[in-house]
Amino acid sequence: MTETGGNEKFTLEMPKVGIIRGVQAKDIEVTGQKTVNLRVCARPYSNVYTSGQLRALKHVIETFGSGLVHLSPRHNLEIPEIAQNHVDSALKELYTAGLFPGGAGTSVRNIFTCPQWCTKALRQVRELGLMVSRNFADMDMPNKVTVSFAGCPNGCSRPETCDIGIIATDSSGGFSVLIGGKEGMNVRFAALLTECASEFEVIEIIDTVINNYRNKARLRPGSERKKERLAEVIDRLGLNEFMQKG
Amino acid sequence: MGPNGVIQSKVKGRVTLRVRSLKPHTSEMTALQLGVLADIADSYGSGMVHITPRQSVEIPHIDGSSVGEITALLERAGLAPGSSDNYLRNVIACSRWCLYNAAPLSTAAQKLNSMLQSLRLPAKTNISLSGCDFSCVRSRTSDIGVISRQEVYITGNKCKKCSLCLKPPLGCQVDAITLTDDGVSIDQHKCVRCGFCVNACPPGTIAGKRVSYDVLIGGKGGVNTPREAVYLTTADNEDELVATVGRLLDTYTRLARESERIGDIVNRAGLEAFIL
Repeated sequence: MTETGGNEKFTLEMPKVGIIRGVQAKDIEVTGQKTVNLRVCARPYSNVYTSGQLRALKHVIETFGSGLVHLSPRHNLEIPEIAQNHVDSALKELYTAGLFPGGAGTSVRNIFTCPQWCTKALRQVRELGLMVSRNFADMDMPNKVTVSFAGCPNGCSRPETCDIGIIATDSSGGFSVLIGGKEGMNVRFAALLTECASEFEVIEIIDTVINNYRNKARLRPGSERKKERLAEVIDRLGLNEFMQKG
Repeated sequence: MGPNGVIQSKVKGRVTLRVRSLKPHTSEMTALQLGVLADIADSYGSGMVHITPRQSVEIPHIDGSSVGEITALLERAGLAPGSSDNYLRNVIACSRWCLYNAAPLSTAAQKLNSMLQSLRLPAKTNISLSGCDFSCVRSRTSDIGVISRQEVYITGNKCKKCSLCLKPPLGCQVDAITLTDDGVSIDQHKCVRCGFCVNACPPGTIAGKRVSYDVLIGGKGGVNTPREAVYLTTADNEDELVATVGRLLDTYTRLARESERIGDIVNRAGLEAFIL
């Protein structure tokens, strides 16, 4: 925060990771300035939004946006059509409500954990999600990394097509860690890396995978800027060599 | 099977309500709808909501007896409980504001959702409509996935050799474009008709024409037996797409034994069973 001539001016101190270049939808007419889409998620990480956050969001989309919010598949909320000169004011309101831009670009995307009130959940994964989010969320990466936690093998949070998927397999403890999944143009289902007994081990494994990925990812063959996804690194090196330190 | 959208909880008498938007767009919420959800979460629930991966909103810890009251409140705002059990799950579509869209599909999703909102099927059925080949909404692991495709051609406009159509993020993903001194050329055999290059080309040398919709069936998530969807057919316009999806659901209902999902039928009877 800096002050200029008595009027408090808000300056952005957070990295602008969630600000996406946007185009206007074809059926909504907005004239004038260039607009951006803003992807926001709750920080500290939460798999729920409070009613206060919804009201803050409502105010922001009414004041600066087009009155619409898009629900994304990784429980982010996308606010479209915010004029570039309004971005800072919109962000200020969102920060106050505990909403931060994030979950975009080549970073660790918003963590996904299933809801704690599900009757099928073998055990709660929300705390794990919070821990992982504190350590790794929005961390800069060679390419996007999606991390999902599922409380049961039904996997509503789609751990099988995430770069790192964690599934609770046992109510007393016990998680399966899957890595190397991917969605999009070429689908890859994640392969089982290891079984873990405790939450601590899960965090350690995720730490190893993320560090190894950062160190070992190269540019995609034939590309000058795009780096490999986790699945491609594992294809190139093999699972054993990938997990070796270095 | 309980009423659509009402999910039993661990506590007796308490339920979780799954809510989806029916208008103006099923993949988005309006300011009014957000306000209504916040009010309901405060007065009937525990002041919080969960955003599900299928663009619906879960309001937990609701008293089972107040569901009727809440439904009336929701309907006034264009929202409705739904998308649970074997009822057709919320049809999802990707963002209309995305730069990669070959053709946005929110209107098709809205049509399907309002037409089929209380349709009961043999098992859980996911329909995902994706505006481009990246398929953020996971068309390739849904029971029915749709991907928009746009045919591209070279117009008379002079190429400025900016090479935006070659470089990521908006450039060609399959190396079908080559840039020479004479301008750009597109290898139609390599082209997957995603339409990225149309959005990327500033002088309009590359332009898009006919948009079509690829329909894929039989995908499935879940950790134990995930399955990738396979290509079935192509619809030429949005009305045809809606009709095709309707016919597919009819065929599925007719063919399914017990609680088979579309992928299981494809495994058992082959893709021919679904060819219309």
